[in-house]
Amino acid sequence: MSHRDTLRALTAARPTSLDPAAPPADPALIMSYPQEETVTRTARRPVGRLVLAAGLPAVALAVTGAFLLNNPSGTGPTLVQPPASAPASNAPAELPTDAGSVLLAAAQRSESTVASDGDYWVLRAEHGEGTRRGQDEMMWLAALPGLPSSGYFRRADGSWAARPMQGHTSANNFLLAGQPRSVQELAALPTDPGQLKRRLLGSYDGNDGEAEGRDVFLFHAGMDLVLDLPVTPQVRGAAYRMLAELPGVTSLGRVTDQRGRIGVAISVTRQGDFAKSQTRLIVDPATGQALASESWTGGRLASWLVRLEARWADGPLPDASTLS
Amino acid sequence: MTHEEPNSRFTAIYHRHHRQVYAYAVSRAGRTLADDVVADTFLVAWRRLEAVPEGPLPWLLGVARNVIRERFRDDVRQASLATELRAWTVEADADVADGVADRAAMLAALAGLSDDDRETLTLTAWQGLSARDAARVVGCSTASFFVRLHRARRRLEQAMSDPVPVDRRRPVRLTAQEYSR
Repeated sequence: MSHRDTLRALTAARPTSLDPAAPPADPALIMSYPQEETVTRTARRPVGRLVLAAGLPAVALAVTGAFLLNNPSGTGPTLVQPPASAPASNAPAELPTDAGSVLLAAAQRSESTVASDGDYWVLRAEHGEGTRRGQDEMMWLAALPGLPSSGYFRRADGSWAARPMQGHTSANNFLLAGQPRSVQELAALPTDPGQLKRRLLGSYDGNDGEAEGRDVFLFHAGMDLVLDLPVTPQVRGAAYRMLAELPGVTSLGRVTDQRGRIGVAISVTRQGDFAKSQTRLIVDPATGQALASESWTGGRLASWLVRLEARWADGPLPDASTLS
Repeated sequence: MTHEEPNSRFTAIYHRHHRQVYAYAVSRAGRTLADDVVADTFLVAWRRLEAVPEGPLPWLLGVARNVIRERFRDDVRQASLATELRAWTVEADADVADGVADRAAMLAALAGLSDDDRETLTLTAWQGLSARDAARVVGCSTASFFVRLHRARRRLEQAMSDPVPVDRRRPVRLTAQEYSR
């Protein structure tokens, strides 16, 4: 058999399973996502495998991944954040800025707020990469079974456009430590920092060669809890306390987030193959609220997210034209 | 640029190349993961539509290649792919058309090759890419793709003339792929 024949025979042997069994999904679903304004290489790196939960919904999650994973959640109740333009606080200079003190103060602040709930957990955040302009996004995530979820993104002209989030349910809307959790599961998390840590480590696979270190894993899980997950003020307080006890967590002192709000940056750093990579959680020491998260690689800001709003709301989903 | 232009361009690319991206995804990661790979690949294409070149197939397959590498843990991909490769042989065996034995032997031999060899061969034989385009997918020069293709083809021929005892007829656990249909 000549080389050419071999290739020809291989072509003839093409398995039929290479052809999709179903017609392609409607591309409109894909086109409902915002396009990038300019071309960069790393567009949606940060999500990794955490979003794999299930089929197409994974795509929806993937795009907003940075948002979901790194993101907002405030202290407690119908927490309406101050307008984005105003600094979240005028953090007096005498407030302590070391990691332990900031986190413990945040824990106390958090625990003193009142719990609330609703049909939807509403998150609004601006996220971006490097120094490029960010994308302002809002998500109405169903907390109850049977309700639809919807995302909204802000167009350049300031108006909002709805973005369907098919496949998103109250069962998979909230990711903690790489796994989807219902609001009930989140509410049942331990309020003791030691127990919380043990519970989170139940999802940690130290034998996975690709896994991040245990403390980095806990830092990210803790950051999810204080930034963007609908947990009770007590659980959020426990997450702050857990973070305060983690080795390797350091304070970078006073910083401003990408919206110019003043806070204290708490960080973990790990040595990657080519550069140091650092994750920063920015906390307002005066209010105890988590303001933002940032990822730095080799001394440069790689991606960031500022949380603008995290609150409970009741349905139905708002029409995009009613959002301001 | 009007609003319609990017939409119609993307829709055209999507309908034109969806099957090919799917086929590539199946051959690299198995049917169970293919839909995710395709969805993610076209999402990247949509988001960076301005960067998508004319004659976008090599670009799309290159993106799919990265998506596979970045999104799935290697053991997950390998498991899905192993199921896929076994299924090819079994399905070819079960096929009653003529030339069946050849097909099954060919696919069994292909399954025994390395990932890189298999990719090199299938980009050429199944995707119908020129060496130049295939080289763009895998990120090497055209010249070195020719070398790779030559070697992969030789190893495929070797594997066929000297068949490894593959348990082709043993019933394969089809659970995973049945669920994915």
